[in-house]
Amino acid sequence: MAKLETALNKGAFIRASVWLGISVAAIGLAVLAGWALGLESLTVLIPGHVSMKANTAVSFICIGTALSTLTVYGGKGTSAPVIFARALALVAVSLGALNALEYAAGIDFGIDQMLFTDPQVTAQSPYPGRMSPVTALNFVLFGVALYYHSDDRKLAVVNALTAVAGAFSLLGVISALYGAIPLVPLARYTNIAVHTSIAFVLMFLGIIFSRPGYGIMKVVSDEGAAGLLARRLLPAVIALEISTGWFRLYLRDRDLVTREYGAALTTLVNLCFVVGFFVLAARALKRSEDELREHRERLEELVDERTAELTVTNEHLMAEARERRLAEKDLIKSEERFRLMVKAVKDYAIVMLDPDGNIASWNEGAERIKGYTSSEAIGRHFSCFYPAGDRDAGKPARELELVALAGRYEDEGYRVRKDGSAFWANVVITALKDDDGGLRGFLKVTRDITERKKAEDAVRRINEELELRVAERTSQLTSANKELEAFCYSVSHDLRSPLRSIDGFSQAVLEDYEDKLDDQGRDCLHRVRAASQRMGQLIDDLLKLSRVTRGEMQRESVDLSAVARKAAEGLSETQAGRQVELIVQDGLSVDGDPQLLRVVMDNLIGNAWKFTSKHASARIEVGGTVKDGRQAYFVRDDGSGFDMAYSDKLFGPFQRLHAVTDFPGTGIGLATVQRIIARHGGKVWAEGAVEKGATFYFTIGQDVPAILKEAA
Amino acid sequence: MKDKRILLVEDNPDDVELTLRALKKNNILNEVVVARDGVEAVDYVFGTGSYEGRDISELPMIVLLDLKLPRMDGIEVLKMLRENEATKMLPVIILTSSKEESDLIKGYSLGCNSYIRKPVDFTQFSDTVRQIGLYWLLLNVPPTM
Repeated sequence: MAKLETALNKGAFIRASVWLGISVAAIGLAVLAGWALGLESLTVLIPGHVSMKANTAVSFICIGTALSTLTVYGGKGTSAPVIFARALALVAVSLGALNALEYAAGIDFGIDQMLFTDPQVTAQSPYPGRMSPVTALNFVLFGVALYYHSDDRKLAVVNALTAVAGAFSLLGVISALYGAIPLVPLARYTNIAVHTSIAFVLMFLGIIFSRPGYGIMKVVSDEGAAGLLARRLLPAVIALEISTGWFRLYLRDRDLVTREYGAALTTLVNLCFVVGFFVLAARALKRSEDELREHRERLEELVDERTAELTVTNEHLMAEARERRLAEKDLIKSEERFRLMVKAVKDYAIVMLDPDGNIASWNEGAERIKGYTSSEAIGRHFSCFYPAGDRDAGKPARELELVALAGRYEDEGYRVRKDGSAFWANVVITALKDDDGGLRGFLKVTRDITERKKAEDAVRRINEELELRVAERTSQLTSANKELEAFCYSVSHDLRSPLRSIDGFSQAVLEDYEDKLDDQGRDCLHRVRAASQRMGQLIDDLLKLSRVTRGEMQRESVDLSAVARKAAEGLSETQAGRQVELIVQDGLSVDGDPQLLRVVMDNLIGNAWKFTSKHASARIEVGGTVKDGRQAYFVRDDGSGFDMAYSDKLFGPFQRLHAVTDFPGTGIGLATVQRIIARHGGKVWAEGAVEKGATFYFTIGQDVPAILKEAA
Repeated sequence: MKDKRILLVEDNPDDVELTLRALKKNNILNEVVVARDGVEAVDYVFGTGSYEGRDISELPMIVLLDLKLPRMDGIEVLKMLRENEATKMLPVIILTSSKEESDLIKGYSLGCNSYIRKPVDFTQFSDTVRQIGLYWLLLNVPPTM
């Protein structure tokens, strides 16, 4: 607000200055017009007074125009208007100087009436058309002042010249006001026209207003108390002094008072006014000071408040800084701990790389695994751990590119120690990035897994060997199976033919040569026939046994109870007339091959049937039970039984515990049963005693070792 | 009895002798032509080889076919007979030592009319031959060819 006021003040002064310049030039122009038109009212203004000379009027036009121009276009520049204004100022200086020279040297340059003829010749101005010496001096002073008006270095000169010229101007105005007639020699030279004096005063004001920030105007235009006082007091004091002077003259002229009393009276009036002004000024100052003090106090309060706030903030900041320092300390400690930990890890090589792959840190594990000491390793490129082939193929660089893209990379492969030996390594490289995602480097963790690799390789080799061996064995088995097949086929066809011939031709002899044979001969031939027939039976059974182990096996749910009943049914049909009580438990169900299981039940029940044949009545029982924690099935009879001492011979092919004459058979039945049960992953065994019956137990599908089941 | 001929395909002379004996014993007096292997059997039926020029319109009434034969085995013979229009309905009785599952399947799938296993016991064999004669030569009505 105060600033704006100042600006307005200064602007007002400058605007006033321009108008004052224009007024001065206008006065000059008007007087010049008066001269041209012969109008005394314009040249003389007040009848009986001296006229304003034509040169004076021209000079006024010059300095007035120069002032306005300089005020508008002022500044330090040397633009065309400024040069023009300076030229005008010099014209005024020249006119003044020439006039002054005329007075001083008593010569006439003929310039006084070069424009118009001056008819006025008075005692006060003996040279027609010539300006007064004071006027001439003033033009020189004002002219020079204007010439240097815009030059800041010449401000003091301008001010001094202006002040002197101003004094002369005022003197003119005041003396005109007081009606003083200059009779004394001094006054003769200062007698000037009223409007000349006024124009000079305007000119004086114009010049000092034109630069309100400099010289005395610096004080007058001041925004503070000083400016205020200057602006109020200066015009008041000037007006007062002029008024009291005039008042004193007035009193004296009318002889109302004595000269001394007049002096006393005017002094009193003067004093009263001056004291009044000072009291007013002092009060204004005091008010201003009070305001200032208030402001200051308010300011101090504000400063105190702000200081208190700042103190609190400062304390907060200090506390925060303290906390941060503590946290930093903790962080440093934790980092140190972590660093020591990493350093001490022995089983892992933990290495930091810079973004180019150069080693930046090294731990004990790295030294142990790779053989380089920390000082040897740091600064090297990490590609030195790779075999030459990998290095040449650009693998290290490719790995870093992958890590930079994906963030993580894992690899297993050979790496090289310092001594050139290779080891099998597991390597994990992780990218280290800063908060902005920029790559800071890499963390590389390497583990020596040579031992593991060796073990794995060994296991793989063994597996491969095993697989090979299995394949070999399988093909051996396949070819053995084929051979067996061919053998069985051959046996089935070829081994029986000779038997037929032996039997057939024995019979032929018996028939054709009956009359030539005695009883012994016939008996021999009968034995030959019986033996060949038995051999045929043996061959058939042998083929049956081999058929059990050949061929594909089905697996389905088999109702063992039904199979047992059907077997017994068949027996009771072919061997009727027996007293056999058959007890079959219901719901015996197993998973297995229905054909083979029928062979089992046929054999076991057939055996039971056979070995109870010597008893008048028999009891055959088929059921399920639990033996040694396993589900087992049994066929029990109350027949002739067997001696447990030979129980191990029961299941061997062609093994018999009874004479053929007692119980017929080839000894192949139980061998067949055992093979079938074995193919079902089960077990068969017998319990019994001579003449106390026998029990045959078997399990199905539970003898498979756990490991094979898992594999399946 | 020319038109009620029996073709016996059998390489074992003992078996030939025993078969003939059994036939005779059972009063089966039909003419018996013996072929000692598969090729001979086929030659006889189709009038080729050693039987070049034989009137092939005279087909045997039945064929007693052994399986295990030199040169061409019984299964091949059966196959050829069944593939030929003139002989595809000729009754063929497989008479062999084996009762191997594979032989049975092959025989029946190629369309043999009967599969009989020769027993070791000659008494049984003789009885078997008697029954064959009775059934195939007397009871069975063959198609007119």
